Amino acid sequence: MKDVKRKYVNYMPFDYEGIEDLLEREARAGWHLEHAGALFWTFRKGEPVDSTYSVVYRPKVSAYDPDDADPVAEFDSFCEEAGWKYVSGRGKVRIYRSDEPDPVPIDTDEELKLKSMRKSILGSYIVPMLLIVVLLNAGGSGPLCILKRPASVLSNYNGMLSMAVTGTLTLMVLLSFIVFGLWLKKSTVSVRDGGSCASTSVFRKGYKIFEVLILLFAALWCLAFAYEEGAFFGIIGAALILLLILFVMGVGQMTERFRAAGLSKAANMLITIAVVVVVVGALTQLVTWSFYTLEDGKWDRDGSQMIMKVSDFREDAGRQYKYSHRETGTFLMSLKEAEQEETGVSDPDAWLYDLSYEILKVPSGNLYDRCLDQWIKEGIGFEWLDGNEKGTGYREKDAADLHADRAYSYYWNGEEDGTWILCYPGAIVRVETTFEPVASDLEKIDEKVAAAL
Amino acid sequence: MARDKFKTLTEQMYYILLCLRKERCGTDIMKDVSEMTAGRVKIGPGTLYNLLEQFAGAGMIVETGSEGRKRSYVITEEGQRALRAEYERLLLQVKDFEA
Repeated sequence: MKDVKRKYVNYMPFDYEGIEDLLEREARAGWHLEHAGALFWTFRKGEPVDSTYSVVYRPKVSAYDPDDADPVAEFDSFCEEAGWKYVSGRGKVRIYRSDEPDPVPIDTDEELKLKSMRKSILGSYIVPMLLIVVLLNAGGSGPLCILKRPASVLSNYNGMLSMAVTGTLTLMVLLSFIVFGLWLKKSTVSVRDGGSCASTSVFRKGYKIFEVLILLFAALWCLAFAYEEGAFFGIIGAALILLLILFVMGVGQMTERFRAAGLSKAANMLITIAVVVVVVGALTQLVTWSFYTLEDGKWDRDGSQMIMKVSDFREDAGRQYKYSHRETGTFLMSLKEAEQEETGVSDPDAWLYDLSYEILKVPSGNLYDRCLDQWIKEGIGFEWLDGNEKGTGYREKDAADLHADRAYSYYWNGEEDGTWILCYPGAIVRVETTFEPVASDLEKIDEKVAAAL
Repeated sequence: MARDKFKTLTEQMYYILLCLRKERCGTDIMKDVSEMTAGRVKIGPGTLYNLLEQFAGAGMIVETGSEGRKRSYVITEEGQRALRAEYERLLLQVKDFEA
């Protein structure tokens, strides 16, 4: 039988009752906490004991500062006098154990205990988690993406599920802030009236449900990635998640080791930040590399599936092309993308003939309007700073002679650029070309698209 | 109504200061208070540590020496004043009850 087991443990930071209940349950079953890691806790097999565990919050203790060693040791010696032994801890949260029957609690003043918890959690949890929420959403990968880029996110399960992961995580963090605030208020009133802190079991089940959902969405995202882009990319996705988990586990251990070795607080924090930046940078590079590998691998089509080609618009005898074709879809919408790109031209100043189109099938309504809005706004791009003044962006064209209900043409510095958006019932089509547009191009595009829809 | 810091003392604060009328090692206070009150008042080690730190910061006790990690304290004039004020407040409460 194993002597050591590792268990995934994750509670809201103020849920000391949940942690204590878990540890006491494990102790009664003969498993005693040896080390509390970032995500996985180590238990060692021993005799079943009716131990009492106590989670203590020390706001003045830093995860980085070796100079805390003496005050921490002094505090521990006080606890030892009362029959409590320090077991493990992370930063401001320390776990003690007593095997005596009915031991005097470490914290007997509820007001002081509440104050210590508030300071510890505000400093070491709220601020970093707020930063994570901001980074998740500011980088364009958060749930707000659904409002800003629905056509990109909701037309494939890969995008939809990555939004589900970040959205669920964001919601879980925000809800836990709210719950903590409510618990704090309730506890403050209770303690002021001579009672004890409120129960921390509120939202415990909800928190676990969110965790399960995040893991489920992450697993489904890997599968969707594999299904839509190929098994190789599914493996990349799973590897990214695994690397992230190992990283979270490793950073905490590294910080603890530096602290134990006596490295100064400033140096410890600096190295930790540097490691985080390097690792996040490396993971980003891995994502970028896999994206470019995906892009490079897409040129494997013969063009037979294209509904329109360069030759429909311009004389292109003698020119050579490569083609790509991609289709994705979810229960909300589907996207068909095709590209024809000229190749085999050595002259760097030569004008290449490229054509690409996207056909987004989405039911008319609010979602349709948002997708159209996304594509029109994407056309503004980096030119927006002075573009609108010089006439850069999409302008609506007269669609009276077209099958399309509406048509837009992209203008660059006041001149048509060879990019169009056409709106049909249940479909939006975007076409980009690199050749000089002429008046008849829009009608030809409309004929080809209407025939294909 | 919120209690101003040390304007009134909790039971645990009161007994800690009472113990420190004589020089004592911090960790002995837990046992002494329990004995003094026949087990009625129990001070946890975490609460004791925090209160000693706060009392020292407020000038109500002073460290008199240390042996390894064990530090000794004794009450100061300021601490004596706070203790007496609390004692008199409690006496008034008893008188009000008896009236």
